[in-house]
Amino acid sequence: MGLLSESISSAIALIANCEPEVMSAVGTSLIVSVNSTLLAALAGVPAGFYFGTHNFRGKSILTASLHTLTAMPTVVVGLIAYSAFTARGPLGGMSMLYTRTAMVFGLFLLIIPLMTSLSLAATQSIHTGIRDTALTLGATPFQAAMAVFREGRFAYLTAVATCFGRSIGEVGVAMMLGGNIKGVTRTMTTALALETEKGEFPVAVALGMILLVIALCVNALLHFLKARSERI
Amino acid sequence: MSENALFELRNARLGYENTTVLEARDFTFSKSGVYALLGPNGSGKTTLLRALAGLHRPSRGHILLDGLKIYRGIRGPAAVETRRRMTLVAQSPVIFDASLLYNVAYGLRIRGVGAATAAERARAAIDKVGLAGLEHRNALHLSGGEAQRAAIARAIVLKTGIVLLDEPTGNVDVENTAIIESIIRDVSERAGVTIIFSTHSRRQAQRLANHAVHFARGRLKLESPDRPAGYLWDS
Repeated sequence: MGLLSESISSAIALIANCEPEVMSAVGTSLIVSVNSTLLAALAGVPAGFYFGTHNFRGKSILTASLHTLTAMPTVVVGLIAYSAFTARGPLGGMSMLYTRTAMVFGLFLLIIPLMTSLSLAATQSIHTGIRDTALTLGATPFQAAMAVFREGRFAYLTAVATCFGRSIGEVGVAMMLGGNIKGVTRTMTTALALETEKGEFPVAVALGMILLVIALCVNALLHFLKARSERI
Repeated sequence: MSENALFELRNARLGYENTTVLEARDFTFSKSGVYALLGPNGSGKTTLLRALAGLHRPSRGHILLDGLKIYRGIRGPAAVETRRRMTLVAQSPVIFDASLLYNVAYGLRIRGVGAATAAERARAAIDKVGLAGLEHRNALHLSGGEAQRAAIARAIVLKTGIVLLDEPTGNVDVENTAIIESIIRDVSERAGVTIIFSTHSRRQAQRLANHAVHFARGRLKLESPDRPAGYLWDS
């Protein structure tokens, strides 16, 4: 308990002093996770919406595959992306291994099934009558689709927040594709793992605290948006 | 086609998959007037209303509106224009997760009416159904009767020539029933409006309608369509 309380007070001092090593890891984490989440949201939310509102051959197989891919171990995703970016891989010529771009790509691969799957579930949970109601009020098919989308806005936001949480808290992909290079590809989670291994608990605790605060802020923002919407 | 014909069912069969719910060989709803669809549960009242609204495709035959097929799919300008001539209020209305004002103004906004005008007209419709003061409340938090009145406000604000109501008082108390009947009467007095509503109550049909359509064994029977309103209920 003494070690933890000492580490916490040291960690607070590190955060208050904006320790460069800590801030660099925070910055890298935010950059790669925000970018990967945005890309996954741009692709996954519309895809989940489409799958949820259309019937087509092979839909059940696709849905089952998506659910399976959400449980794929991060190291497997890291391995797939690594094999693509390595010198002998199909994207080896781009020299992207151990860069933030490679990390964004890997994290995108990791969270896109989850984003699509959650968006699909969100769309399916919306009352089927929303579309018909919009149509009977004179909506065009596009306007009716937008009415359905609007109805699920918080569920889609929750999907984005969940995927952001998975992205920012991820270690395997960040380590394999980023290489944990100090000041370049070292994220909060890879730094936290490294500092703990080195016995540098204050830095590890500081990073852990910042991760928790970020998670808290994302959830608080979601609650704020939902509460504000209900007042309208 | 008769001059006064609004909806015409021509050899129409309505149903789901292999089940036929309703058949109408030759049936016409005339322009103007209030039609009550009377029949037991499962007799096809809701299916007919959905088909008239263009949401349900006849498995055989056609339904015509002013001589043109209603169901041409939901896409295309013609289909949208057809749908915009009418509104359908469901028995258990689906309310958008938004304010009452947003719900009532929705149909106007998607027709391109400006925000200020739409809000003004929506407020007037909300006032008409007795929900003034609740404009900014999330409509999902309204009671069952209030939600039904909200759905009716959402329909009448559009001032369409055809209003379809599926058991508009099916899930509401006596007080809300009286309010809703008063709104239906009020709308029916507008020139050129045709109202078609379903109900289980013959008394309600007598109070509101001047035509009664009976659903019996999957077929439609119209009571004296061209006679004065009072005559229908004396036989």
